[in-house]
Amino acid sequence: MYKKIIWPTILVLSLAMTFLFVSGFVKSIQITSGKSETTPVPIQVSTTSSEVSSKPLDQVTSGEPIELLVIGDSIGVGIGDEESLGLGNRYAQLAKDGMDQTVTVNNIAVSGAVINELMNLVKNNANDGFIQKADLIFISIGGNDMNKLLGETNLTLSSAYEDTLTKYLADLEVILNTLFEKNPKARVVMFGLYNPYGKEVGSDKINRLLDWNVQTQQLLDGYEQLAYVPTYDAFKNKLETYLSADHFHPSAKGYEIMTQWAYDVVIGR
Amino acid sequence: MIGLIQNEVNKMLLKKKMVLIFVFLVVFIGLFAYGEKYTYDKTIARYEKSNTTNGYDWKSLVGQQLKDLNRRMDSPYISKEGIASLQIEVEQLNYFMEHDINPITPSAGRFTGRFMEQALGMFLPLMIVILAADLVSGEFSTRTIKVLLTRAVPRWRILLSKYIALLMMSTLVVLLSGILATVISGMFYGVWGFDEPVATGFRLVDGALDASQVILVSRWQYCILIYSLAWFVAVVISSITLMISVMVTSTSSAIGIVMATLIGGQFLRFLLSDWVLVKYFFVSNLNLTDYLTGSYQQIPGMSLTFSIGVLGAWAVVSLIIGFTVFSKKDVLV
Repeated sequence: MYKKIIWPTILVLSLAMTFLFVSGFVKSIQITSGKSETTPVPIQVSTTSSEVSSKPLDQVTSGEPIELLVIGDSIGVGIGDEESLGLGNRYAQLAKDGMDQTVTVNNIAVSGAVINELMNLVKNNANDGFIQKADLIFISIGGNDMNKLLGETNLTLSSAYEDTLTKYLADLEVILNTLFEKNPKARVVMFGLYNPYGKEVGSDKINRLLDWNVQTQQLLDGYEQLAYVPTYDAFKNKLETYLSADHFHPSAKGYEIMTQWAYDVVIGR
Repeated sequence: MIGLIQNEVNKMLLKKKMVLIFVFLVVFIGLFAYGEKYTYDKTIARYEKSNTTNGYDWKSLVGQQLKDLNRRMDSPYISKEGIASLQIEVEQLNYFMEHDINPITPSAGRFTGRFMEQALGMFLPLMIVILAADLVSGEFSTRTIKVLLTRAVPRWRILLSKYIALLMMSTLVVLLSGILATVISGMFYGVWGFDEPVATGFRLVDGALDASQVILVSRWQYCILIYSLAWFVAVVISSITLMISVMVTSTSSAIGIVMATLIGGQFLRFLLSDWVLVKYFFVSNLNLTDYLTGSYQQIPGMSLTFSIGVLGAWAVVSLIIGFTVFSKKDVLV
């Protein structure tokens, strides 16, 4: 009895599925290679930073009045700071107390920004004014890029991370080159990423975060006027006090620590 | 002709190959699904155990992400393409909020898609090889080739009937994997998730990932796309294995050759970015689903159409060689 229905079933089923799969196949091709409405703008990578002026940077450390520009993501904005100060204003405070220096703070950081948007911001001529008059520039970026990898499983984490990291480093290089091209005398401080989740996020992801910071530092190493604040080390094991109530952004204490470190690095202590 | 095909299908069924494939699929999918569920449960447990204030509060995290996304869309520095991809993300997150689903919750739909994305490179070809390897060489080793060839049917017709039967069964194997993946993971997770929105449509433009044409499809549509690509891979592997089966009279050699090629090809993929010729090898192009998800190594010149072209060419050439050799081959049994 079975024999009578097996063959017709197989025949019909395979024909139906073939039809379905062929249409799916055609659709896949359409999706991945449809006509592009927007013409891609070729990315102009500016010249290398080898022409950066090696004029001694006394202004920042000498107590003369300086302009501080803060760019990047929500940590640049100062989200989480219970005293609503953030990195820029806190640095101004430290400089005032430490060497009676007047620091004018300009903050064009955008909450939630990723590296790509920061690159567009830096390349946008509308911001040249801010960039060119800045003596000191604080950059906080990368956290939102890394955060996207939270949902990856063990199988997909590796390739997703490599992908994200490669794009991030490429964009970061463009950002730094553009900054120094527009303002050769600027001194830049970049804040490393910390881990707001503690051990629960798993050693796989923590290792990626550490690698991210190392790769960032290696890139930064090629530039002379660049300093790096190792936020990860500062925040490790102190998450209860250094994180704000949203368990993600730094608290007032956290910002205090970050700014103090940046200040020490800048004045060369 | 239909009679020949039916005969070949019956032969395949009698050899209990589909049973073997079924068992492989059940075991493999079962282990895979269980593993994912286990990892997920552990992750949740860790969050809840050591988080001093509240438990794993995904809602506030997603809420925060939504706020950030909306703020970025208002930012004057965002490009048009950026807005499009942000809108996609917002829609996806909104879906999860509305349906009260934790975005990293595993669902049967997601598993079904992911499983085939991973299986495409080696596991699916293995299943096809089980079906196809002894298609011709098996006739030699059991000496039934004499009976087959003394019929008043042209040799190419015989091979064609085998090939068609093989294609039919391969199609069913792809269907079977999809059904088993859905059912088994559904049992483990209890969540179907087939109407989740999935983003696809990433394209490579001038070496950079272009997310401007990204669209949202529902999970089941996405699965159909993935399995359609898998079906194409199955067809290509069938063709190549058929050729090998024709040329080699021992089934184990046929299996060995195909498996060695698959595994060796995977290693060659590491050289993909340095050695141009590697991209013309069929194994390098098996992972078609990567083009859908946008998570592939960006080698200049490689796109979905390119890979399909390469695979298609390999299949056609294999068929030509297979049919020619079979028609001219001296049978000395």
